[in-house]
Amino acid sequence: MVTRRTLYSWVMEKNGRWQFLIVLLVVATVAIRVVPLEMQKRIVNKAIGLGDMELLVLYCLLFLGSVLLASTLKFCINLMQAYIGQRTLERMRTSLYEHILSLPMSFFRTIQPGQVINGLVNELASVSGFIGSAVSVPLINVCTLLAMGGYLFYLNPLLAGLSFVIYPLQIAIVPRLQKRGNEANRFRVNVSRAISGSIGEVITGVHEVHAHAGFALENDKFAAQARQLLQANVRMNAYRYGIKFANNFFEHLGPFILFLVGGSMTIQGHFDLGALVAFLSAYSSLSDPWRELMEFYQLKEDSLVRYKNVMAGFDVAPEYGLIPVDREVYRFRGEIELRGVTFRTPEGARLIEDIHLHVRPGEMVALVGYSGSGKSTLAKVITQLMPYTEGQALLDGHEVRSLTKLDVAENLGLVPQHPFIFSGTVSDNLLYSSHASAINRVPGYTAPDLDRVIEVVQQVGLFVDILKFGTQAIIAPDERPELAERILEMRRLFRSRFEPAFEGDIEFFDPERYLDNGSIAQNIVFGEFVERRANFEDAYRSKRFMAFLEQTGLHRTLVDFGAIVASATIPILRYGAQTQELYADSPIPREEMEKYAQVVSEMAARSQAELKAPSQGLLLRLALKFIPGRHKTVRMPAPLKDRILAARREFRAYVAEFGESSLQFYDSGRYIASRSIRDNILFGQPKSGRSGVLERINQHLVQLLIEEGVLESIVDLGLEFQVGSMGEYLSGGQRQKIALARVFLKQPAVYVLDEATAALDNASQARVQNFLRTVRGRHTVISVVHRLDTVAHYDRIVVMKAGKIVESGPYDELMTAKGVLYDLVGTA
Amino acid sequence: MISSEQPENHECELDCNLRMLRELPFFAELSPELLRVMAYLCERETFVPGQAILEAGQPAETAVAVISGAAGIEREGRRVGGVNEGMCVGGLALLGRYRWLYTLRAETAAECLIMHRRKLLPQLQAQPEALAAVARELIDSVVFWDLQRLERGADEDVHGPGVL
Repeated sequence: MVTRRTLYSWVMEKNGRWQFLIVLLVVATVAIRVVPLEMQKRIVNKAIGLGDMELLVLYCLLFLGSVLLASTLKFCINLMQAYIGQRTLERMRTSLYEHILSLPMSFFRTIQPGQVINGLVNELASVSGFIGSAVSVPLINVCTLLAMGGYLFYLNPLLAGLSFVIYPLQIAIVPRLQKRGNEANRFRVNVSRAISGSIGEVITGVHEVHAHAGFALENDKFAAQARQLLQANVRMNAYRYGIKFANNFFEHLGPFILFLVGGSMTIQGHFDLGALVAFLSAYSSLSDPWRELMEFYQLKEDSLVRYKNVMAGFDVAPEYGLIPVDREVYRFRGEIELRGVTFRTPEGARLIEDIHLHVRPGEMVALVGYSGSGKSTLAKVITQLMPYTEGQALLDGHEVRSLTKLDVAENLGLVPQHPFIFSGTVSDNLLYSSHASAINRVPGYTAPDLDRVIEVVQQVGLFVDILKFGTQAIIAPDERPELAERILEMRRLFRSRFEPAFEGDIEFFDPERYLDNGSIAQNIVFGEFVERRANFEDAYRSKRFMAFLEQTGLHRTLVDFGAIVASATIPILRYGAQTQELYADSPIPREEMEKYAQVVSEMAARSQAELKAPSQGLLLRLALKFIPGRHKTVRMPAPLKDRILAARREFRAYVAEFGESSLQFYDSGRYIASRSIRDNILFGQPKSGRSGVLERINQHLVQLLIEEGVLESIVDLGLEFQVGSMGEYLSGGQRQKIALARVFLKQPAVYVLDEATAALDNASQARVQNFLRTVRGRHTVISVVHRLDTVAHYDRIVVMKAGKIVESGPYDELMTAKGVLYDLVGTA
Repeated sequence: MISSEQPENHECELDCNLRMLRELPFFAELSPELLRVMAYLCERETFVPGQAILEAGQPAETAVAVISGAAGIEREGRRVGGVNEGMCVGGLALLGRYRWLYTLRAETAAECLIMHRRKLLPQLQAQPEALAAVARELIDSVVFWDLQRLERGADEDVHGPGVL
């Protein structure tokens, strides 16, 4: 197991040749470093002494060449050390990551994501420096020390002996300090892990922090941990620099003894001055390798502490094998047999107890019961997510705990109540299982084609969502001219067929009509910016646009209107609790509320003409952003709308004077590049506050998409919709539909649905139930059901209470018996 | 001074919402300022005839007041009651989580004022006395309904919360 490996086992594994090469390079470098010394001597003694210019140039060039060569070799050594360190770190991380993923679910309930990230990313990173230098640094420095030490003994055994007295002292004291330093480091690593865990937890649950305004609470908690980390770091650094201080002190204790003893011997005539200077000079060459050895020692100790701490954190054995060895993955028929299955928590609580249940292949079983009755635990036991502690759970006669993860994944499809959605596209999420099967080289696996994907997304009611995503896509018409052309054709068809029917639902772009669902800026421009990222919010930044407003006198009118909007909105925003929802439909964003509040105060005291220029600017911006269909604090006066419509015509003429423009005016014959496909087909925008309008529009759009032969292109675009981090752009229902489709695409022998349709609307729920009915007989279905109006068509209802099965049988039979199911249905 | 007054004949959506909320018993004791915030956070939605406004079995997350038009209350596909202009359903959904026991379907084109719990409840929670006032009114309503049921004598095995 990777967590049991020693740090040194990584040093040589697959690095032997590299380490050897580094040693060779270091030897060569040391040898080459002698050349500049020799050249210095020759330059002084020979070239300068003899006054030989040619020799001087030659020795200088040799000096330069040797320095350059030594530096190049040092550069190569550094690069190689870094490379070895990093490639070993990569192997270490990958092996550890693989191990972590295989750990039991119970492990993940005890650890925060932040702790895993900190261990895997931060703590291990510093180990790479040690691995790169683990062989070469001690080897070379010990060799250098021995050589230099021998040379010193050769010069004067007595002085050499005296100067070496220091080293045992240093060797005795420094490790003691280092030991304490290690303890401080270990403590720091633990604090760092804890703080990472806390950050991870808060980020994951940040919605709760916002919902309960727990900002101060979390800030306090974090501040306490940060203080603890500060103390731990200070303590560790105190030891680290203490060791440096000790090393430095001992380094200079040598010359002190030499001066004292050597000096007195020289005074007494036992030693000549030249020999003492030569000895001192040779002694100083010992300090570099010794210092490097000491630093290496510190690095080694630090790395060992980090490495051991990280590995100890994950030193848990996986409960199950990942893939079968020496056999192919099992293919089950879907028979489940539970004999006296019990799950007991480590504290001794029995979540399920003595469960006996036999499910035939193809049978459709509903697990029902009160909350906390053990339904979900049972589903998790069957799918190997929770290990049963007593009894036997068999899948086609094979004990569940003996199966590998791949056996389970290929034969059981679990859809949890709160499925996890990965960042990426809808398609990435739908095909997650399929991609896994492909990578695991499951025999007989074939990837689902687009038709199959469409079939399944229809079965779970996701098709409309995917079409919605697809029609919301923004395409570049010059990159997909055919699609853009077809969409323009659909625009014509949609208008000719459905305009009267959607008169109340859609605000069609019409040069003579005010867009109630557009801002005042958009109404003046009546077009879009060519640059997708540009928006009308920033129109006030355009000097040309502002000049137009001044020229037409609109500037003053809009500042007046902005004043009305601010006066009507600010009191509400100031009084209300500061929630995200309060600002959701506000023309004034939360971060600008105070600024506008000041403007409103200023307005109470001054006339408009006296308002400061920045205040006038803010009011103008507010007016330009005002959307009558959305911002409800003020009704936009009809004369103002008329004035804007007039300005729209003037603006087009005004822009034409300047030639090239960053604007694209709405033109029924042109594709609007910055708008979605749907907006392009509608050539307008759905009105707000019209319930079900998008569904009604989509129904008609599907027909048109089929007629124009672009349905597949739109589905493709929809499947490529980016769902955001952890599926943040998806609704709860959409997430469940994706999870259902992901499992249905896999077609396992057993479907285990753990309240998998709880977030679905009634229509989608009915669709899923219909699908389950169609697979009856071919696939086993075990469904934890909360809504009892959906269980009547199951083959068998298993009723649980307090961790036990209390009733089991067909729906009608149990209802007639008027037992627990009858009570449950009665109270639902 | 700049006037922020708007002409009286140009009532904005906020004022219309406010007028509607003032009529609701469970908001009767709220301060005018808070009521204005609540009105600001309400949404208007228009439903076509036959369209479900609320669906049985779905999480109850909104209260709904009918501004114009009419809606029918259906249970298991059968019409059991109606909601007309000025009436409101789902007040309890502002405070607690449950699933709709019935479907509310527009019978004519209906404009409704939608009060979302996620928007309104935090405002009430920020003012505990306001929350208590709303809860008190809702409790009174539940007690009143129970009283009516008992007096009708329709239920033999009356059980569950809210029973006197």
